[in-house]
Amino acid sequence: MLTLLWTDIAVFALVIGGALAVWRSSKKEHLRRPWQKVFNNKVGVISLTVLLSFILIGVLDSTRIQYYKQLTNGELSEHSETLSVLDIVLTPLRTQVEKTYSMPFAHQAYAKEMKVSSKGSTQWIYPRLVYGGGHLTDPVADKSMDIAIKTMKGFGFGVLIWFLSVICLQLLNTRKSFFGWSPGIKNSLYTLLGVMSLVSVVATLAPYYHILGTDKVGEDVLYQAIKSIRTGLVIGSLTTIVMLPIAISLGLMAGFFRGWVDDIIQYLYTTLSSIPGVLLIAAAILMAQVYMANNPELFTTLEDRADMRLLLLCLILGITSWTGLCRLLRAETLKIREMDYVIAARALGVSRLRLLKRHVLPNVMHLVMITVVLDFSGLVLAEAVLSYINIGVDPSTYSWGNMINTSRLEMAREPIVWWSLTAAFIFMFSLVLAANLFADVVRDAFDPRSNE
Amino acid sequence: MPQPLLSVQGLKTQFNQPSEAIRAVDGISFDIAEGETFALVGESGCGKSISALSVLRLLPNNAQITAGKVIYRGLDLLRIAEKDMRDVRGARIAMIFQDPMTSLNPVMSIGEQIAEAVLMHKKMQSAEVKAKVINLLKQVRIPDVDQRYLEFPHQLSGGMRQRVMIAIALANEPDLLIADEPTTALDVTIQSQILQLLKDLQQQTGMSLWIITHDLGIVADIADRVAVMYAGQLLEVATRQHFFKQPAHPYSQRLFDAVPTLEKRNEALVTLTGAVPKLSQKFIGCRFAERCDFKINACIETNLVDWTSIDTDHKVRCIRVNDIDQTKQKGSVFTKPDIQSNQNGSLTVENLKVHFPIKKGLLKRTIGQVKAVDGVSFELLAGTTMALVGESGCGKTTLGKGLLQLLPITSGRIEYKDCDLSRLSENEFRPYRDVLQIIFQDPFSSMNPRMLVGDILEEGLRALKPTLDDETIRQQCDELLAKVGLSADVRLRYPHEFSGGQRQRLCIARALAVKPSIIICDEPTSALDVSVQAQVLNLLKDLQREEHLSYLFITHDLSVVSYLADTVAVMYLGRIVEYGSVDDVLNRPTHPYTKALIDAVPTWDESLKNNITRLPDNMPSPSNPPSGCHFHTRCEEVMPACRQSYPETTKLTGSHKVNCHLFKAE
Repeated sequence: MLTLLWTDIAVFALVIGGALAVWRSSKKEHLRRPWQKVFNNKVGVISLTVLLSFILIGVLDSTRIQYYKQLTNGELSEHSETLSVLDIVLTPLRTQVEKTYSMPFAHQAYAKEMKVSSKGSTQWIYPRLVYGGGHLTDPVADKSMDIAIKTMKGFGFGVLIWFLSVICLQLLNTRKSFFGWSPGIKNSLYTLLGVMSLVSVVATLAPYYHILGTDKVGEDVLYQAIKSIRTGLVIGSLTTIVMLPIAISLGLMAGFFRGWVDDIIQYLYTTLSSIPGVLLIAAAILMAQVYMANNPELFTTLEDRADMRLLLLCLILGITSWTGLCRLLRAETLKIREMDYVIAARALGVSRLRLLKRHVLPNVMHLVMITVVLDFSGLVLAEAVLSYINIGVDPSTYSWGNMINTSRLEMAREPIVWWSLTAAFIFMFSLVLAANLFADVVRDAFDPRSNE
Repeated sequence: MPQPLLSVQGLKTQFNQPSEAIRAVDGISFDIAEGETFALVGESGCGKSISALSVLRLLPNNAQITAGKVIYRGLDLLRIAEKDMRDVRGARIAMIFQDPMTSLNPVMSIGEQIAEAVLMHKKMQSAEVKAKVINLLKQVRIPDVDQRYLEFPHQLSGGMRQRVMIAIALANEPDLLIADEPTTALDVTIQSQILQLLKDLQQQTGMSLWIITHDLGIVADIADRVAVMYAGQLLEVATRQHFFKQPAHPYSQRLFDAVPTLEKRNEALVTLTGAVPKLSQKFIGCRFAERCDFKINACIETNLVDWTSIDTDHKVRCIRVNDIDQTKQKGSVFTKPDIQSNQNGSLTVENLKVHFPIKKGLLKRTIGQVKAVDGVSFELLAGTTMALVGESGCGKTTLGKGLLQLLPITSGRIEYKDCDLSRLSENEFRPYRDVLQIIFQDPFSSMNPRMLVGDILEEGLRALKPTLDDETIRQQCDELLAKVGLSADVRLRYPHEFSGGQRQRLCIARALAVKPSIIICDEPTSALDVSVQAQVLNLLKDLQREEHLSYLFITHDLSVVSYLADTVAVMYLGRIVEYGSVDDVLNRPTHPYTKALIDAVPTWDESLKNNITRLPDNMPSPSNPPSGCHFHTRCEEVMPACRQSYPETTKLTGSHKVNCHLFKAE
């Protein structure tokens, strides 16, 4: 049975909204042109493909299925459990839990343990891991060979799948041969080749090794990092959705109408930005916690609570982070309202609302775009900072912030545990870089002056 | 023959773009002798500035000099090391640019900036430097030197800033001064002074001058020799006398024909067909052939059109130069429109005032007024053109915007069809928006870069006539495009894809869309080249006859006024000082200010050369106008009465009116 949490609904609404927008703009000639430019740009296509892969994971992680576990006596349990499609796909990663820390690709634990050998003597050794390299009899000798073979196998399998899908596409589209396809599609397919072989290699290795190691309680770090993708996407996009309407409407109004409207909006954002955002967020989260504690009937499961907290975090981050963009838009609008084309439109009797919509807004969109992308990475980081003082996402929610937060202690121990931080870094880096590059390409494509 | 100071031989510069190479300068050769003034003339985009920058090796990164030599005193500048080039650039060959506003550093006093240039190539004691800087400032005739020395660029007027730029260029006593459109950003009165200054400096120091300009008047005023550039090539090189007596190349002739004058009033200006060719293409034969009226097959068949000498010191790149008809071509003569001055459609302005309050302090109290427009009255008859002339900052544009209620009016009456427009609120004014329309100066900023041309044109109709259906609007826009000479398929393109002239046509089409009867033209041609200007002026004249439009033509260009206007109002510091028919004002000016304006226009007609009235470069601020007659601080014929009271309006003949104490009402 399918269940939905609030953030799941938001994720689906965003994805469907985005798809609708793409479909509608494909109907209009002058909107199709810039998008075509994006697809003909190598960087654009590659970053879009990577971004879509991330979004796909996010969507899979948001599709939750509720089920009742079969007990040993054959009856169904009374307590339902919820797993996302992604959890089901990643079952081996999810269930193969070690005892504690282990290095990437390790077959032994990271710390020595007292072991009683079969002969009865006690030994101080690195114990074998249950799952990581568990299939090997002589791990020291065989491990590197085994990893190499599995990597090759995974790679070969990935390439094979890619070829099969290209052939399928070719059969669907018989008009042109592969070499006649547009460079955009070709670039996208090449990127997919990379993504697929990577996924395939990981998929072949993951059941036998902990590719990115395990954390303190022995959970696979790769699994944590993949699960964090959804949290990152939700925080980045929902916060933006909350922040944009406030920033754009207030910024444009302040710049365009001047006078008392401008004064009030300026006072508002100056006041708001003079209060440390952390305090506001802490207050809001604590209030929410009290509310949740007082109304336990509304939040029946742990998941519900964690989700509510994530949603509230997005809301409050959105409400506190609009001031920068608002100030920027006000300044730009002040400039644009004096441009000749705005004055010409006023002379033609165009109403103020239309002026704002058709003349001012499109000309500040590049600023919005840049700010949104920069904020996106900033927000993922903010989440990490907030987790540090325990007002971020719920500790039970997988997030890069939480990973970074726990690695604080791991970095301080000796020998250090570096892989949690590295994993979070790699995933954040690729998501933020893809978003950045894509936004750059889109901005250039939509600027009619730059495309000659 | 003595060796020239600078000799450019076969210089080629190209811009490397990912898709193509644009050959901006394609093999130009010329010499500049010691003490000579050489003028390079051409329209925008023909490669004038790039050739100067190539000589100084100041090109942007994506540009590259591919061939040629630049010999300066026996030294090939293109082949010496950058370190040695630095000793030449700025010290031996200096350059001044078009815009004095952006060429100076706003946070350094002008004294420091000049001192910087002095110290760049020579070590000196600080007292010595100061003496030298003050000397330079005196040389460029800046008054109150000791005080000005410490001032910052924003405290100086545009003309003063250009003088400072010249002082910086002169700091190391260069042999050659390159002036790239040195007066284009300045008022005509200031322009004549800067040109005079350059001439005098040249006489004092004996340096050579290389002037780059698009204005034939400046060339006639200052140049010894002239070269005409077109599409990266020189087409004609001649001495000034030869060039202005008998321009030989068809392109040069067209440039002269395109200049509007009083005599051409009743005929259309001769314009060039087509557009400047793309510089990325491979040229075969004459580059101008496509637009030339005299072209024969040989013009496009010969591989390269070579120079033909028609006189000593006069050579032309045209194969038919000896057989083409040298008489001036005339445009088609207009049938005299019968202007019935029906009072009904005329616009009457009475005592219009637009004041901007100066607010200061925490409570934003008003502490003064900028009287941008201070009591202006005139009548614009239906179907006629009134020109509003004056220096920048005199309130011309404010007046235009005030009429359209784009700025709040302080007081006064604007009467149209028995209705006082100045009393209407924004919503009440809306029905009159289709009466009054405006065209702006800068065709690049007056269209939203992110809107399609079709949407831009339709905007007015959709806003003012919401009842029209899409099909009618589309049809009307297609008609409009045809009317301004553009095809209907431009609707799906963006404004940046058009040239300046085409954009200005689109702006005219946008204003015409709502079928106005009065159009306020705010310097619509001053950003355009002279040949494009001619096209736009022809279009405006045609439209006036067809649609019976009235124009309020705001400009500082008196040649356009003489061609287009029926009546002229001269404005100074927010007030009209002289008003009358175009013939009265331009041929029999009475106010000293009008006389100075007319005298300042450089001309190549020897018969019109007379003593030039010099206007001091100290236009007062409209926030604090002088007592009495506003003009008395700059007037040559100032009398005690001028300081006491503002002169009454004196009627001279017919409609000719003037505000000056020299003319007492009888």
